[in-house]
Amino acid sequence: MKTKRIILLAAVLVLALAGMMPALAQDASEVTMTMWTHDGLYVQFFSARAEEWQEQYPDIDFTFDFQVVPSVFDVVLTNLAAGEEVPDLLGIEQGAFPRFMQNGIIESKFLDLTDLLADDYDLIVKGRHTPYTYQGRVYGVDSSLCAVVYYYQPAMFEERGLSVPTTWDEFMDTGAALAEEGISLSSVTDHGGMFMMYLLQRGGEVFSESGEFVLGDEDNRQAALEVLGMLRDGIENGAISHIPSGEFWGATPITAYRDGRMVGAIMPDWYSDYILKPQAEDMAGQWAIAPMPAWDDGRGHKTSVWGGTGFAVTKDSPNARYAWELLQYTYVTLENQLKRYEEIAYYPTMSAAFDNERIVGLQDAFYDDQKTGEVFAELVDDVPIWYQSVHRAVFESQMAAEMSLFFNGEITADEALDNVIAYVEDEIAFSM
Amino acid sequence: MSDLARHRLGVALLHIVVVTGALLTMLPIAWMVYASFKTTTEIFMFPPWLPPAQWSFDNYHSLLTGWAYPFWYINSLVYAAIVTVFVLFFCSLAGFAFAKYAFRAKNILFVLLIGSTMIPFQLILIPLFVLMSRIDWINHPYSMIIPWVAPAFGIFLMRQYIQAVPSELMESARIDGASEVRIYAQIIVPLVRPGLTTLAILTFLGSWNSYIWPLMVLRGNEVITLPVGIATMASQVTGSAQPYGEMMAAATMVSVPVIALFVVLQRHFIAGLTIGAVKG
Amino acid sequence: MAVARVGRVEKGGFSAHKLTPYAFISPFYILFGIFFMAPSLIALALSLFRWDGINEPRFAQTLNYARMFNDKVFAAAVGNTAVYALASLFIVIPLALVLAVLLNSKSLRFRNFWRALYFTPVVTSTVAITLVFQILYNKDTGLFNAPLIFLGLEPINWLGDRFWAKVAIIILITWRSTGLLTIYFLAGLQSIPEELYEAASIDGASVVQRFFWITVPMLRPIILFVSIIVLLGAIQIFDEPQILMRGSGGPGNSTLTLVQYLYQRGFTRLRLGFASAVGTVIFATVFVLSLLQLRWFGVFREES
Repeated sequence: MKTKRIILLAAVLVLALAGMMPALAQDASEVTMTMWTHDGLYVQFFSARAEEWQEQYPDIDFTFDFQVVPSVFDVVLTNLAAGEEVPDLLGIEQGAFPRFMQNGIIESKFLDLTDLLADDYDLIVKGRHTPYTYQGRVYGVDSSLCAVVYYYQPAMFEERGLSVPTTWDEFMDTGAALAEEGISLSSVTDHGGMFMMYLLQRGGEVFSESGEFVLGDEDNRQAALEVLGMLRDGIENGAISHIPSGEFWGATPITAYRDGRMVGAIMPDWYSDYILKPQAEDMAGQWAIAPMPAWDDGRGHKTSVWGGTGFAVTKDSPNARYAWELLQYTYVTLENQLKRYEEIAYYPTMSAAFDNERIVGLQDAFYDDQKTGEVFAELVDDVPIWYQSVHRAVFESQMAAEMSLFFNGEITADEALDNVIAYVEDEIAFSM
Repeated sequence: MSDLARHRLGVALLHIVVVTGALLTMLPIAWMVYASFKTTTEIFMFPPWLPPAQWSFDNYHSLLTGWAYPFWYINSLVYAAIVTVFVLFFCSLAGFAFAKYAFRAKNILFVLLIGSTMIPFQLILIPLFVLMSRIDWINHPYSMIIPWVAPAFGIFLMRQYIQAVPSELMESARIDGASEVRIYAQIIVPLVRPGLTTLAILTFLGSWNSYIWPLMVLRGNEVITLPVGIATMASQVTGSAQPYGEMMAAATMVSVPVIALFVVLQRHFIAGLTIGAVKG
Repeated sequence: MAVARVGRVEKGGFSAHKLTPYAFISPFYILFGIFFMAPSLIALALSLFRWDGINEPRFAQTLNYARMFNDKVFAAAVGNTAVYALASLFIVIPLALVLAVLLNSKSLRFRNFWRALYFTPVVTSTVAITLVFQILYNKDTGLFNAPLIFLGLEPINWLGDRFWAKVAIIILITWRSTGLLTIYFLAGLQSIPEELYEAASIDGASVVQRFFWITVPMLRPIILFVSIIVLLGAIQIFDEPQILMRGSGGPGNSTLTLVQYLYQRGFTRLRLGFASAVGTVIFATVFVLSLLQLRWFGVFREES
């Protein structure tokens, strides 16, 4: 029958597509180590270190498959859901870490590094362990100090006989003077993480060490009101530009720097090599670094902190041992922390490194040969601690939405905080 | 105003509107091609129409050498072509059955079909991925093809087109002793060529543009597809040297061949549609 | 009738004719069942559970639904999505229809060339072209603001203002989808007999009158088909706002769509059960809307 023939044809088509599995056997002396991350600079740095590191294993033929994967955390979590392999080494951007804290995924899938770090634990500043800490155990080694400074163009101050503002009051005054020429000192965007950065500087916190949501506590709320008030004053008097989150990382601020409409940015260390230098190569030599403005009453910190990427090791991987060794070699040795600074300009997380001439003595041509490490060396002991919480994503996205309304002057700081606190508490109640 | 003058005015107006609209439509694409010859810094210079200091193919060059671009291109092309062939076959066959036969459970099956187009893909992503994993199709070409060869929308579309084919043609063929398969192959398929072309283009584009799925199931710089490759470039972005210039070159190279293909195919695509008039 | 008869011959018997339609649809349904229905059913069932994707799901009754209907962000996403859907129905469809009529005009020279041009946005890559628009929308240097800046007017804050951000998305959607709908309409226009227009002309009907008296009524089936496609597409908008706003919901969640909401809850917060509940609600709403449309459309009527 013709009908049968067509059924047959269809069946053949279906079958022709099915079957056949790729089988890969791996020789014991051949090891393929994989790493996924979102930032190409890490691939570059790890690849260079891996070449050195493998020399201690002359009998093993290592292949290093290090990749930048877009939407890497969605991909990893989906793979974990299916029980598929995930890379031996995973760069977990600290903002994504809370996802892995959910129901202890991090604990069941990734290696507890606390004991492996052993004595080295104390060499790294505490605030660089907390973003990757779950129930008191550490699962990631951070890539940079993430201390916040003021990146600015000194000529813009000098031409007008102004000096770099060192306190927020000075910042507002200088900002008001420059605003008359349509120039702002720095920018903010609607980002919950950025709010936390300013809040931490003031001594407030959103989450406690145990991950509880404590923004509503009196001290924290007070600090939050002050921070929000300061930022909005800055926006209103022209000291601070408000940039939409879709444009903040791209050309908008860069173009404003180039056109002399904005002096600089108050951002963490990674802003330099990750954002500023690649996009503003033509402005090399016109930049400098100074500490961010401090609060006039002396409360809080000289700097703040935001960001980081902690490298974690997959527990079930047959290469877990090698992966940890490579990670330890690359990130937990003083020598390579110095190299990391020299090669990709991410600051060391070991406070001892800041005594080293290779940090404090290094002149950066982009910053007109300023010894930028000196600025950070002054700050390293005062970097606030960023505690992590599984509820952070909820907080950040709601805070971002409220910040937009608040910066536009549509709601008061009190309303913004009330809205955020109520919303986050609802979500926490739902998640219990 | 005489009729002739009025007609001329109308024609002139028609051309003005059509040409203006076309220019506006092409503007972003033209700008993209233009920007692909600039450096990233120049792309953001004001005013945006400033020419590059030096017209250069650097972006294209680094695209072809710095990234596995040719691989991405070929992968995308092959997947899209294979999926399209299967979709045309399965959908026209099933669309034929829905358009021209009465059978039990037809309405229920059809509703099932329509209903399924309303489930956001993001929702079935994880269950489908788990399924792929169970049958070992992760990072295997099958995962890029087989789940995609039976789209409900395609059947809906083919059903609409095949309905327009006069049933009398089928009947007379039956009287001549033609089998149902032959009716499908020799009467229906040639008559709905425009519909098939439409479906082919839509399927090809769907596959060509798909992002989340290949991102999940394909691993490795040389096996990924174009949209994932471009996103890989863009995701270095939130950070390091945002390669906007290269991205514009990539986008140009993604679009231009498909546009060319369409220009070639569009005669079938539109002109043949007079077929629909036969229905009456 | 002849058609209807084919399937019904030898009622009760096991004839080839009776099997034919099943044979024709079976390859499709086998694949569809395995790769689409099964995952969909699982996903829908998960809406009654809490699940992080990795650990065991826990039964949660209707808690997910209760939270969703209390969530103001969900309400915002519904509102935004409705705006996109309405814009698609009432801006994109009429635009495409008028464009199709213009492109179908015999007086138009190089018709095929213009048709091809209008179709080009459809064939561009979503990811790539959204990045292009992101640059064009730039407040200070973007092409769209350049005329305003030259006229000394205040540039539009396309990506930062809650109103303009929505407009930006609608422009992008309109640009991307008008060409495709135009093609559907062009196809439909071929089947309207020329005599109708001629007769109307003789009766003295103007161009506009002919459009509303002949073109629109004759195209009704196509318009309905297109409106279903458009509605489905609009409710599932994800890529454009996601890329344009770099994964955020836009200023004050003003561009957040339902599917973005689903994605954020499901993936960013690892609440896949909750995401399933959102998906179920989207599914149910659109299903009812489309059934109504389809009924109007007459899809369930047997061909006569």
